[in-house]
Amino acid sequence: MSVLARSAALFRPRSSAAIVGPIGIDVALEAVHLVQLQAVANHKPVVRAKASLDINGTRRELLQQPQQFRSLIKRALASDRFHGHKAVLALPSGMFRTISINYQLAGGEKDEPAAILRAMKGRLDGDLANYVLDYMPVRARSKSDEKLALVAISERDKVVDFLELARKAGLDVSALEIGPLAISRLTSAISEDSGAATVLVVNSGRRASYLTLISGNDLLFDQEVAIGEQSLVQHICDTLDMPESTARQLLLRTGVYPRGGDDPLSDALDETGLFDTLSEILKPQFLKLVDEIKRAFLYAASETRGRGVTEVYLLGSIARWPGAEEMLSRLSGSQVSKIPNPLALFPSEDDDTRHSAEHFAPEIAVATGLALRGMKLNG
Amino acid sequence: MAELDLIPEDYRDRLKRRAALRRYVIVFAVLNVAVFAAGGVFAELAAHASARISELKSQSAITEQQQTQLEQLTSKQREYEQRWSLLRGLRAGAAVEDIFRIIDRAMVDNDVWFENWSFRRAGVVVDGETRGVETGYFVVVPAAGQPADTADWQVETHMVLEGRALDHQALSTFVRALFEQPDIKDVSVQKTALTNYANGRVVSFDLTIVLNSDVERI
Repeated sequence: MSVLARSAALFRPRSSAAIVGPIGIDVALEAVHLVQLQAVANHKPVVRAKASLDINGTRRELLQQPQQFRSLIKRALASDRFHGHKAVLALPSGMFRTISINYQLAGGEKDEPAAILRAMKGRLDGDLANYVLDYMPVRARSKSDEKLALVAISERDKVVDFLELARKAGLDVSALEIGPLAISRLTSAISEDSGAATVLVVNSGRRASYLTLISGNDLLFDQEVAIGEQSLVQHICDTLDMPESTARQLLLRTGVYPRGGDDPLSDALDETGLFDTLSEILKPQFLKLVDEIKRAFLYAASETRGRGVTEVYLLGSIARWPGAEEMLSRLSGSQVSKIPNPLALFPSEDDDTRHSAEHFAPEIAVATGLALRGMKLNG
Repeated sequence: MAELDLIPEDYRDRLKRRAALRRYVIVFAVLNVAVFAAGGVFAELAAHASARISELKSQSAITEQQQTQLEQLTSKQREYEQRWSLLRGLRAGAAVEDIFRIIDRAMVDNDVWFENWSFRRAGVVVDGETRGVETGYFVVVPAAGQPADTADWQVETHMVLEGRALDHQALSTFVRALFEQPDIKDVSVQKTALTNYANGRVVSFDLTIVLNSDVERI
């Protein structure tokens, strides 16, 4: 081998070298979640590092205090073996919205962005320059030249402020995404394992829930539903005339649907009446959510030529209530299950997550989906 | 899977420009530090060099002073050597008894006798242009700072003889015999006169004899 070839070999990436992905960072309502994956050539990615740190206060306050945000990120990065500062962030919910739009390319037109912008005019208040938007084309409808795209929109000032916050925290933001896309990426990875083709994700938040429909690798739509954990808890408080903290404790302990054998204390006390009471109080609210879910089923059937939704995943704060998925299953007539532990898909050799596929960790679903950006699932 | 990114392009470009500017500033700062460091090093080296030059200059000044002293001493040495040469010249030449012997050898018969005999050996100042022979001269080198003295000194040894000869023939024979002596340089008959006595006439004469001096030319 010549000296030149040897020198070139020194700089050639070795096949056994681990490729470390970006740090997926999800600034959730009550905590900041970080996940980083790494992959060795021809192998599935594994979790390199993960961290979840509670926000001391509210997210709104955190986002207005760069020093506190920086300190939080610094502590999170130091808590595990994170590598580098390259990160993919999710724009916090409430700072963006998504719209599914139909558009047509004018005779022979190739400029898809221009067509999207044309379609977006009139849907936004004020000048388009005040917004940041990006879109994901959804598969074309066969019967016409009409195309479908999912557009994510955010106010430019909010986006720049958030990016500056991240930059001042020492992060090198390589991409700014939205939560539904991260979930879509994660469910695609799950689907590769489970074989599910079309997945509906019900992500329940504090004030609203989000229905995200994913077909294969396509994010078909993301819709906000005005039913959140807060409204359900408030409904119980009003009906039973109890403080919010007590209602939350009750929901977390007893749940909303009877599950035999799970809780010895409930079995001993025979809390059937309590389950029934809570179910009856929450049923009207859950039915509103189920209506939206059924509407999503119809949309999925129309967009997937009748194949319909094959899996419904529940995640978010409502998913922590025992029996929530059973209640939604019973009301919707479809199987609703909690999203599998995201980290169980990418077990690290020195981690117990590979043995905890049943462990429920929905809070890091978005961060894991963000960390998957740019990573090849099959090595 | 299609990707989505909400980072505004102009913001990304601005960050890139800022990063490039930061890199430029860092490189500029590093270069400045390097230049200042090099400047400091060179200044230090220059200071050392200046100190060394000053040291060498002072040493050189000392050397020049010593050189001047050496020249003065050399000049004095020459002066003393000239004087010593002069003294040697004065002391050199034939001994008195040898002179008598030389004169005696020149006398053929008793036709010549002497009435007065004077001997002189001294340094004589002569003009350099008048130097006819290389021996017997020495040059006085002027001391430093003094005007050059062009006068040459010659050790001159001569005798003045006053005597009588029976006749001019006898005197001539005697003078010729003197010339033939190697230690005699010149013989000059200064004066002759006939002196009458009761029993005859004799020739009175004054002779100046210049002897060779063994003085080396300096």
